[in-house]
Amino acid sequence: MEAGAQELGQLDSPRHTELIVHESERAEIVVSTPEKSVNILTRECFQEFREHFAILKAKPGIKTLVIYSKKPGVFFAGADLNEIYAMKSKDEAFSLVQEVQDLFNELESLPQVTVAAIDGICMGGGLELALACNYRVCSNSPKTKLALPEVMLGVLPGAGGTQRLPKVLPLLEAIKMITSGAAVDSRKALKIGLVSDVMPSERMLEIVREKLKDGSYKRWDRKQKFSESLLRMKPVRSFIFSQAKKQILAKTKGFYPAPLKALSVVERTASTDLKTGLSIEAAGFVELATGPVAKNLMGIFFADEELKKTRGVGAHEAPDFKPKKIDRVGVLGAGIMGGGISAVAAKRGIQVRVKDISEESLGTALKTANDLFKRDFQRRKIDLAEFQKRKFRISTSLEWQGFRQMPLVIEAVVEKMEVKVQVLKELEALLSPDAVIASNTSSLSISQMAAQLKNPQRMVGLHFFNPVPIMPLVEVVRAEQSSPEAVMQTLAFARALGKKAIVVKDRPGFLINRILMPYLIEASHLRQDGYSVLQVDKAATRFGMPMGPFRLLDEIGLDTAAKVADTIASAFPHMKVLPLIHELAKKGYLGKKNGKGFYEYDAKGKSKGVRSDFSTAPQDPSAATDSLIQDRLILPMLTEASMALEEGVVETIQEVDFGLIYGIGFPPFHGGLLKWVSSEGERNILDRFNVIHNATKGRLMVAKDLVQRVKSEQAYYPSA
Amino acid sequence: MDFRPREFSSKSVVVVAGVRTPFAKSGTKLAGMGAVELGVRALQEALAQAELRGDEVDHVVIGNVAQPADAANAARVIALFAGVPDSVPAVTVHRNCASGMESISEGALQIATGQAQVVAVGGTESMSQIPLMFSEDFKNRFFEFAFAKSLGKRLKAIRQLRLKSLKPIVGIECGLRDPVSGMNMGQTAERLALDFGISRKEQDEFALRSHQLAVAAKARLREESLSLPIGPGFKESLSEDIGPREGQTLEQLAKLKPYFDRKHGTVTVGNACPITDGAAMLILMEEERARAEGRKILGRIHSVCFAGCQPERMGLGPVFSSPRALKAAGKSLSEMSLVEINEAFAAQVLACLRAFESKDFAQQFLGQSEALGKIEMERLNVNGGAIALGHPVGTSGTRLVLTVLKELERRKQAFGLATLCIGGGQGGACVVESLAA
Repeated sequence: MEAGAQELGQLDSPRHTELIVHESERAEIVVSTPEKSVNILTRECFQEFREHFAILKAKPGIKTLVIYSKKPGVFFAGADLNEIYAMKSKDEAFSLVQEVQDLFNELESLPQVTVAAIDGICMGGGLELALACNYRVCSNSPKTKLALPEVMLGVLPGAGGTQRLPKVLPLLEAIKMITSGAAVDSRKALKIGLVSDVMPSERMLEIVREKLKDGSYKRWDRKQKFSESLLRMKPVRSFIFSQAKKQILAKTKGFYPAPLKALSVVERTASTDLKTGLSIEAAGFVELATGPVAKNLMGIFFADEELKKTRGVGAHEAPDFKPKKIDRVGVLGAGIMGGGISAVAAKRGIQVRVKDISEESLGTALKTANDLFKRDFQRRKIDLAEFQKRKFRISTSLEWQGFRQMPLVIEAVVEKMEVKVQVLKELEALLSPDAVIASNTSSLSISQMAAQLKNPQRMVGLHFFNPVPIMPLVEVVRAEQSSPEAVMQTLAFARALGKKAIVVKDRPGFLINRILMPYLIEASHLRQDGYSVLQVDKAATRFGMPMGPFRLLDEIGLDTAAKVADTIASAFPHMKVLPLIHELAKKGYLGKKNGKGFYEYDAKGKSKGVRSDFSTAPQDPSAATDSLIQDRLILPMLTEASMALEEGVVETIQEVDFGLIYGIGFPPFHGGLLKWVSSEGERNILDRFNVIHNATKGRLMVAKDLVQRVKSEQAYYPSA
Repeated sequence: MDFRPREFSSKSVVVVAGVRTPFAKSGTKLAGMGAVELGVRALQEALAQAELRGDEVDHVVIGNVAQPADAANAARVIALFAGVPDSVPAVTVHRNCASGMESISEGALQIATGQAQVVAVGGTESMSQIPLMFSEDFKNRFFEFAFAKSLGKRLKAIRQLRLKSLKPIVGIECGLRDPVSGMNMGQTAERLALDFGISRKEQDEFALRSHQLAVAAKARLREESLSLPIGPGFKESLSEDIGPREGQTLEQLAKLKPYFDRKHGTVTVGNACPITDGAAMLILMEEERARAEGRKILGRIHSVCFAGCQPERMGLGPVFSSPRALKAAGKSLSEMSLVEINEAFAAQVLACLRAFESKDFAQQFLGQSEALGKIEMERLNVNGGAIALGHPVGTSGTRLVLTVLKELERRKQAFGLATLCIGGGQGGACVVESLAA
């Protein structure tokens, strides 16, 4: 702080912001949310801003204002989601939005020249605040990311974002940011005009102060380009909006109202004055924020935040253990899974040594990883140096050399117990005593593998989903013998890979595949009952599932699916597997991987539609049939989920919902399986369950837990 | 400088791992990889064989001749890409064809003097990727154009450009020419053929021997090299050298035209080594530590010596460097169970053999009264040499040491000599001991 600067803020409880005035001319507001690692726009924060703005308004002698953060790497992480999540009525939502809108209007109308100096993340309300300033500049730090991510949580930017952003950015870029929530880095921000200048973090404040002092900030003013004014012409504009709408519909399939709503707000307010625009924006926000999808999406967000903090073991277990940072990993088996795991690890800066008995598999794994890295390079996400680093992090071997020093080795060899045990024994003989062995098996027992080791405590499961680089979830499987340290170490590793991780007990199918199994099994039963492949799959996607069960079977591979079904169903006699998939697999219908399954695929793996022998006419194509099919596919999953909870496969219903969303793409807008049950009403679901129970002559068991809950009026998610 | 680890200090230097890529004639299987990539893969494999983490290495020393323009200190780039951490220093060394042996010398010196305990050494070369260059005239015009302040000056720069200055200069041709003697390497071999009266037939027979031995040693040579997945799409893996030709005959060799002296010469592409891509790496460690850690020891480095000779007779380098290395190691030539002389040219190896046996040569050039001794064919390049395998210039010095160590181990014999001639008129030699005997 300069000599002679005076502080005007009060000094009682910890403050979120501080107003400093240098030489009675140049004001600065320094932001730092107390007791948080990031800055958040809370009500207290708003109140302080209001006080500061009142002072500034009354002192036109003060010429300039800079708003910046005291915390490195973060400007504002956004509004306080808890406040939005807790809103019950439309009135409450409306008053919150209006309060923020008014505040930012105050900022915009201050007599000072205002600059937001952004270093680090600048999200949602933070960016909207910056947009109400005259100028925005940001640091060139890789942490600097600017976004309006509201639509990802089912709402829209309600603090003027839909109004001010399109005035600053070219229309297309504004629409992209508002309706996709995508973040831009400093380079892009400068290019599209979101910021006026990019500078080194260390000198940013110094430069901004200098420019405000000598007046050279005026060079930040930019003229509108001709091409931009062209885009604002009415016919061009309406074409852009109609195209954007088409794209959003294709992406959201109509399940997510926020992006469309945001787009329509931008369109409707394109030529209104700010005041009208803001009220339309506020109405849109209120509608979305009080709707079910936003609540569900925010619920997932909170569950994610909670799960990230868990240790993965009981509170009394290994209380002092801190997982090590794993910088190298061994992978056994260079198949689709092993290759995918290698690619993800290499991308995350981890040295990978892959062993396989086939040079061809090793080559394929290298190619898969290389293609992924190359795509990032071609899309300019990474530079050539990063591409090379990633590529070189993966080395391959036919022999065991290079494994002795590995702190963690992931086994992803063929799904045969005797092969796995053999490999694991060879591996254990090499490893140091504290090294962890993780199996990526999807259907075999980790405890059984552990039993074959000299040191069974080091054995855990680490179950990735296919395709590994895309699927966000992994299950960390705790066998009976697994030590808490091994579980914690593996959990930390999974998180370091950027995965969402849940710790599950070693039961057949673990959590996710077990719950998924009835969805796949029921498909064959539906087909036996005369429903067509397309009808079943369409009903499933209409529910919001990313793929119908037949399409998913093709994706998994019918041979693999048959094998997994056998393993899991043999442990749970109530699962009645029909021979359909086995027969087809035997006939050489392996699914997508050889181009023929329930659907046909071209050489690139793109679906060409249902195979002719399966494309029978749909039975009674009505909405009622649709929902009956949906119930037969979805409700048996509930039975499995409740049994898994009862067996303690996971501890909480949140883990079930979270796992299903990230593991099989259970529709996020439903908030998860159990959340969906609660939204529909447990009693309603029980009635529907009884219908399909009877329709299948008692084959589909009603979840006992559901009956209990209806009796005792205990919802999975009590409505607040 | 003569370097004798044992006498120099009490510390002894051993090799705990060694591996190379397969060698491939330039422009073929490894052409797309470049010296850095070849080096990375070899270094990673050597570290894996030694079961060492990158952070356990104290220094990385890698020889390279052509010095890729996009990796100014290739060793540093290789080390970092291979997963050696930032904190470990790396240096690229250059002693022409002996760069790969120079790295061993430097690495061993660091260990012997207590500066390091573990040094990764080796050589890498992509002769495929040696670039074409623009002429000096073109370069001058280009910069004139680039820095011209007005359109007129730019046009002038273009106008002054002559068509003939667009002709590229082949980098590899320059590299293989010694600017002091003004001769290219092939011409120095022709010189030796004349000096020692070595006939075309003798040279072709020696080349044939190299191929026959290398073909017979295929399985053994494979033990030295890693299996390298190669692009595009890594559909193929290269696990053996592609140089050795099965069914090579004397008649085929005899048909080839002399390459360097088209009219009266005797040196052909058949009895010379081909230009080649490949890398080789060794992990050197202080013996005491290696023993304390219970490591398998491939062999001990007794001495590495270099000596100068006439640039126009650079091929005789081994005759000058070998006696120094033997003396430094306290050994005689007869104690060497195996001798590897790099086969730059058949004529050059044959000239060396004659000089080794010659009392006259010893008296005239080495200042000693007796001949160095006879190197019997039974102990010379027993698995073939560079004429069959190829000679990636920065790599061969390391490859020879690796090959001789592996073969000594197989034969359970103790001592071996690896030596090579160096463009520009030098010789390098290294005496090693296998501990398998």
